[in-house]
Amino acid sequence: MTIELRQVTDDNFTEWRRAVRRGFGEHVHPDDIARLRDHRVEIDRLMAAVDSRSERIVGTAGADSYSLTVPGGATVPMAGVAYMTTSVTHRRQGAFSGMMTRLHESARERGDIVSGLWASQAHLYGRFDYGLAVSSYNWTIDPRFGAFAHSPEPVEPAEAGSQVYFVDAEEAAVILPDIYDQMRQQTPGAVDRNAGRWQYGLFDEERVRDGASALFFAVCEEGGEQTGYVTYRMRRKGDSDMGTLQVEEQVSTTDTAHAVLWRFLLNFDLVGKITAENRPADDPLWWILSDPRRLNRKSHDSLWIRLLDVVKLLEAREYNANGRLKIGVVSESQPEVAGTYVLDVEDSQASVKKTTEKPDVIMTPGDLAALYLGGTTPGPLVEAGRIDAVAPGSLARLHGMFATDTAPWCTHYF
Amino acid sequence: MTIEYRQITDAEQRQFWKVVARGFGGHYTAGQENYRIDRELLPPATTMCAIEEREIVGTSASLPFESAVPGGAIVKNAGVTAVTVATTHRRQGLLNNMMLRLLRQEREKDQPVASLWASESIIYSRYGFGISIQHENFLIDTRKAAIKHSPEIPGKIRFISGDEARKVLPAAWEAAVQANVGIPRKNAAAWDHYMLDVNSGSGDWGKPWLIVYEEDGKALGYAKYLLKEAHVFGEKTHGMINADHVIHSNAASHAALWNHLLNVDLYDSLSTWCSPSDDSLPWMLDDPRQLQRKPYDGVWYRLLDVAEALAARTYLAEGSLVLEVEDSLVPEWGGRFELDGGSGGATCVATTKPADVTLPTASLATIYLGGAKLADLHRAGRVEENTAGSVALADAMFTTVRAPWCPMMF
Repeated sequence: MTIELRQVTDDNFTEWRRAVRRGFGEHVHPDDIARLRDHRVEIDRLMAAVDSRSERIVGTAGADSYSLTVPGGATVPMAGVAYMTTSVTHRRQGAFSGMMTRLHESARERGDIVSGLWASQAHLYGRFDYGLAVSSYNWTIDPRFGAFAHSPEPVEPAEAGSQVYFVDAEEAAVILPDIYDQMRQQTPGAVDRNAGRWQYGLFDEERVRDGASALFFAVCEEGGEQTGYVTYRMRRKGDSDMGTLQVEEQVSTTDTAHAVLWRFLLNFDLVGKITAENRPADDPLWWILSDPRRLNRKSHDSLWIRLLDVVKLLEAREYNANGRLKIGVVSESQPEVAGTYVLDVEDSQASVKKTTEKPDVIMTPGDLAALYLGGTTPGPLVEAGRIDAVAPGSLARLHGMFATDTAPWCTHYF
Repeated sequence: MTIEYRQITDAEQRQFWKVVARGFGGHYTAGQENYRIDRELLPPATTMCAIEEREIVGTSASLPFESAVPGGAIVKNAGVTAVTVATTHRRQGLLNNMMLRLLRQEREKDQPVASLWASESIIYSRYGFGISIQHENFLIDTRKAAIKHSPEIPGKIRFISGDEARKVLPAAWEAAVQANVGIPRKNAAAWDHYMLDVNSGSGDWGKPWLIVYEEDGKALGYAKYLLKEAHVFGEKTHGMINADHVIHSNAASHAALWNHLLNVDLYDSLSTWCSPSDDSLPWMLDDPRQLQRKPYDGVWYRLLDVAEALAARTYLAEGSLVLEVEDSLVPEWGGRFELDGGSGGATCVATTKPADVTLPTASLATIYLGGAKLADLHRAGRVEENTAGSVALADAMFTTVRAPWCPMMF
């Protein structure tokens, strides 16, 4: 074997970054290497696969340290896996699996109890026991059909107890992070964004805009509290063009802020189309519109997660029903994870231990990961032959216990 | 000019069908057999029309359905259909007057719920209808969509002819009616109507293909699909499959039918219009992203008798809730109801106790079959929570392990 896994250091960081972007079919802008190094990465969590004959990097991997919110509002340490590439010159030599295995080992050593990722391709990560835990929608809507039939509070400026105002990029950099942080603590599936990630995320030079305008920022305030924001770009050919308003991110900490900001977005003149990617699976706008079919939605996979410490994770989240359930986890790839876990839930909290009793339901670690954040009900996985609900009534119990009042959402892409 | 609202007479039937067809943008061209079936489907007693000096200017009608609610009970369900208002008579209150009379007429027939497919999604909430069954459109490049997970498939798929279909499909349909919440039973006229479709081509799609899934000689599912070739520069590039109906009643029939559809040689662009919102196909595929999914509103429900409708179903969690139901169209159908429910059944009676939640009747219809969460409606301002925790309790009670489904447009 000529492929060795090595730590990334400042000496090979530039080569590593070039290899990452080459894997995604891009060249690296020289400024972006320092930007990434300074704001985004933790260099001791990055890994390179090196061909020892040529001493060149032929595979890249890494993780960022995140805090993931789980149902009930607890947060758990997560390895956010990213930068995964294998050079086209070194396919099928085990580089990718080797890096994944090492990443998971090192995440466990650091105390992460879950790992998560956004998949470049959706067939890649099931074999590493990842389950699709969060799905989202990409939206388009013509604002001329954006009338509201309902809203939690009045949203028309004249009667609303809230207000929306524009802020510039400098103000946004101060205001947005607090609102985001409140939102992510109350949203299962959301992750934290530290100062570096904000700096990196708000970077807005011409070359990252893809022909659209620079970012606009608007904030919603209710009773002196800033409760939501939207960042967007405009695409328009000339002043009379019915352009496209491209929502980059819309975050709110209250239902009112959500309704008020979408009322604001749907009120623009000279906009023929609004696009918004990665909206929550249960976003209430669908239930607010007078003509909901005008909200065109397409489903997309979002966050995939892998359970690193099953007991800690199962104990971290809250459950929707009290009771006892024995979950059999079968895994050839992770014998240490395999076994039957008995959940005793009282007052929404579970105590979890391994048991030698017979399981009520049997599934793989990837299936348990898919259920964990409440992003899917178990019924379809049973029908697909993935979960075996062996005990009578166990599907209803599993469904009732794992149900959540909000769908998970991860607006932070990494 | 006065407009009267009434059922049509026998003599007005052809005019009725002409007006309905015109309302949906077409001419009524049904032949004799088709016209016979249409008259059987909607006899005069099922209609409610707006008539001005013998001229029908507004139409509505209701199919006498029966369909399952959570727990498996089959309830009567008024399938509202053929709703049109002539372009010449817009904004004169015709639709309001017809809907009010039609819904009253259908409640008289002891139907606790009504349902419909909406031509436009802006219309029916004002009559107390809410989106109860949501569906998804699928589009799949079958060359890239391999099945990785599957339940065991003890039965077999075979092709059947149109003649055999008239006997076999109703059995498979009935299996699906019993296994799913929301699928209406079809009467003989409905099957005769369906067979017209089966036995004729549809434009350049050609005549449909029929396959049935059977276990021990019992039909548990079927699919009807159409094929179309696509050519570029005279070369066949890819063929399209439109899976018009994929009807299944258990995991094996679901998997077997989709396995067939994903493996039709030479036809690799597969689309379907009406999958359950929690279809398991994405969880069967090696690469779920190859399946493009577009959700849309499917069937809207309207509660005609709140107490009877709520008492007909079972509830996943045990609980007791007082619901204040606001019915702005027919206020006396609303009121305050005490629901006591669990996995064994439920009672629902009028009460004077204070309400835990207050909601418009459309919001209750929306959650009735387990197809949506009250928490989501709450966030949209469509329900008031008077007792803390009651929205969560309602969701724990009303949730169902599978989403409702209605693979039949009417």
